[in-house]
Amino acid sequence: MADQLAQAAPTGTSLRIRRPSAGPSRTARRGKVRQWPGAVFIAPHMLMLGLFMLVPTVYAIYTSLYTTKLIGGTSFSGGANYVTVLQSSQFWDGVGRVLLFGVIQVPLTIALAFFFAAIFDAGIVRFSRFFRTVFFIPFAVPGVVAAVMWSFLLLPGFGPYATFAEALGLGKLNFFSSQLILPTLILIVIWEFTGYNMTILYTSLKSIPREVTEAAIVEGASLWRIILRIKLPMVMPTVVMLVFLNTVGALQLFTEPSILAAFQPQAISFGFTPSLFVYNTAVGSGEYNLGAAAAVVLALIIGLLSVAGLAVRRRDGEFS
Amino acid sequence: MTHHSTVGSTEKVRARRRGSRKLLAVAIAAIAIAALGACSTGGAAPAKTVAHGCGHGATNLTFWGWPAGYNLAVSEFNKTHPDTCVKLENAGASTAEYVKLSDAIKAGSGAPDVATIEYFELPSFEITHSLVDLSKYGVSSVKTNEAPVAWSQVTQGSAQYAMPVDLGPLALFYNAKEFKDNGLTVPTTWSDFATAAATLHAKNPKLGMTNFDPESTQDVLALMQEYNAFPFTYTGGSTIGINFTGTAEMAFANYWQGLISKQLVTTAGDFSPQQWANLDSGANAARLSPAWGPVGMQLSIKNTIGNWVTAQMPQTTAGGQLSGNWGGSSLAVVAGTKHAKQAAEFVKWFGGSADAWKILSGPVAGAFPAYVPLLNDSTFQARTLKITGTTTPNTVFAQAAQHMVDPQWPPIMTAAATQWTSTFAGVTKGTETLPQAFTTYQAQLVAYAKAQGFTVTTN
Repeated sequence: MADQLAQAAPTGTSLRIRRPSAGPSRTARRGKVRQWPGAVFIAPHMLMLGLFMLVPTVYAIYTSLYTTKLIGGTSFSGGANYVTVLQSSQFWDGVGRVLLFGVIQVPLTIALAFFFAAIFDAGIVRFSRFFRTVFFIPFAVPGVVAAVMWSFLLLPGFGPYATFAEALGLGKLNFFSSQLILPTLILIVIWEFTGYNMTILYTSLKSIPREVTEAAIVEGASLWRIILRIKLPMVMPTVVMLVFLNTVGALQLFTEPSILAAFQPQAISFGFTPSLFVYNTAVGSGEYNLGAAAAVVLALIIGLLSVAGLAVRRRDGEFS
Repeated sequence: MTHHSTVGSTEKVRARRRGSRKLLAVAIAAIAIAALGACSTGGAAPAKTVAHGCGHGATNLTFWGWPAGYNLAVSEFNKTHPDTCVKLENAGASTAEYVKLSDAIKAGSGAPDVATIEYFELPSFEITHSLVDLSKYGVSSVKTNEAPVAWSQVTQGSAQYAMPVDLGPLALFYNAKEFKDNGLTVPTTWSDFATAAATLHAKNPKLGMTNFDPESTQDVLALMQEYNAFPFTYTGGSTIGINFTGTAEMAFANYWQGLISKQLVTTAGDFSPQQWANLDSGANAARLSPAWGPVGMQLSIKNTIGNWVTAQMPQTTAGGQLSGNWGGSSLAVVAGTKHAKQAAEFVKWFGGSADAWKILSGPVAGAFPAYVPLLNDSTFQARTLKITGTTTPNTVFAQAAQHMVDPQWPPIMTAAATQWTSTFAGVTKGTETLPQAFTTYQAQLVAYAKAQGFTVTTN
């Protein structure tokens, strides 16, 4: 990716240089000719976006304004569903839980990812290509499979980790108890996503010009100083982007808890995460309208956080 | 994995939401693994069993069902009924299927002609007029061949909305060796049961009489039937009775909370590895088991094989004979089918013929019949299992099947089960008592029923 970007930049520059030599009418015509292939290229994406994002979103908003009763059928209910969601302690408990989850999981994941990316990039580990692949494998495992696998590994009383903890004298650890369920989920998600974040950070680190590092070495900077004071600031835009992506992912937490719920129902409540609240309300309780309203509220919360994230990135000069 | 494949192979957890979720999870895992494997082989096989031997011109019927062995019975039907060709499809177990079924019915296309529906879910489909009244197709003639409770579960007034297939009457399944070693006699009343539990616990504090899983909706509701404390009343229409806080219901809650608090019973999850380990180590001396329970149980335990004997459930009043039902399902013909007559003929054969039951009660399906000729059959009653040694569990279960409380399920059972687990989790954790959970749940469910437009009575 970095190589492609590096190649793209000079091409763009040369175009800009060439343009003034051409007549204004020619530029306009060329512009027109150039527009339609662009439109064709983005058309499939826009079509999918429209069909699977825009239409369902509009439909969800429309649905959320109605109420369907088993006795009495469907009627317009305005903002009644929104009032119910906004007053639901279960929903807000879930929002609070995923925020807490995100506050712990996102920094840990990115710190770990950066640590490994930096040592692989520094070339101080042998077989780094092999290890990079190994670290990436958890991301290639579907979330569902990962959750099923961890359910067995962490099984209270019988799983290898519970047996191991008992042998260490930690007593009978229940990884799915109300105290440990959130740390357990954090562990699973960190395991799944560290490799992915590491790969992106590694690519980013690789794009730092060699000369910078060489100069630092000549100046006598230590390895950790180079990593923390020179490389980290240079890949900061990537880190900020990853924080943003991971936070949105954390707020939408669904797959792992919903699979764990099948094995440990007492650990995962009805509204454990906002997404689970939406699912259980709509599918589990047949209240599709209320579920749609909860989904819209959740989308608004994520939207607000995204806007805030964009504002931070713009302040940092990432966008003009 | 052994435990889960056991559950999967017996398919006996169909009555339970958690069971079916567990199956779902395992199925998802299996599909995922199959899909991974498929990268090299070029595609996973669809989860579909297309019947063999369907001739040209036969009427095609689609049948959604998940229990094990149903494919064998369908093949037999197709072989013996050349004019009809039934195609069995697995659309998921229990709730997973109901969600798809109700969505397909709402969408007006994609619904099957016939679907497996558990008894507790039938009213939810009746209220939306989604099922064909089979009384118009002469299916009611088999009434005398069905256990009274099963017949009552599928009928509403003169209308018959499904054909009963299997049942899950409860009995006391106890470890005779452990009982003998500890000088216990088989309890016939609940008060005897609590006394025996206390005696056992006094001898060895590691021993509990049985397991009570507060989060298992269908298990608790089956025990409530047997305790004459079933909390729901519903006879069609827009009025529902919900009463978790009545005298009998609270007595039930207090009884079990007493046993839980004194640690006379364990609260492991039903079908969890912990529960099987408790049964095998003696930490549980008895299981309040549905009729389909022993077959799966004997695959999940090893040390106590041969020790298990079946007795009638303890009673609230001495001399009683009541049993409750946990599980069991029916075959319904889905409204909108173009072949209601053929579908009715098929479900009648499936639940009410000796040919079908020869397969359904066989080693693969292992279903417990609501079909009276088989219930009364001496060979059936004399069957032994590895787990039961020389004793004959079916004798007791068949007797129980004739003395069952007839529960009236409300048409909101999917929501009821979804909310149950969250509300009752605190009882397992010890952060709330069973009576407290009943009180909370009562308020939740009444609020839900009212929001759905029902008139709710609470006494």
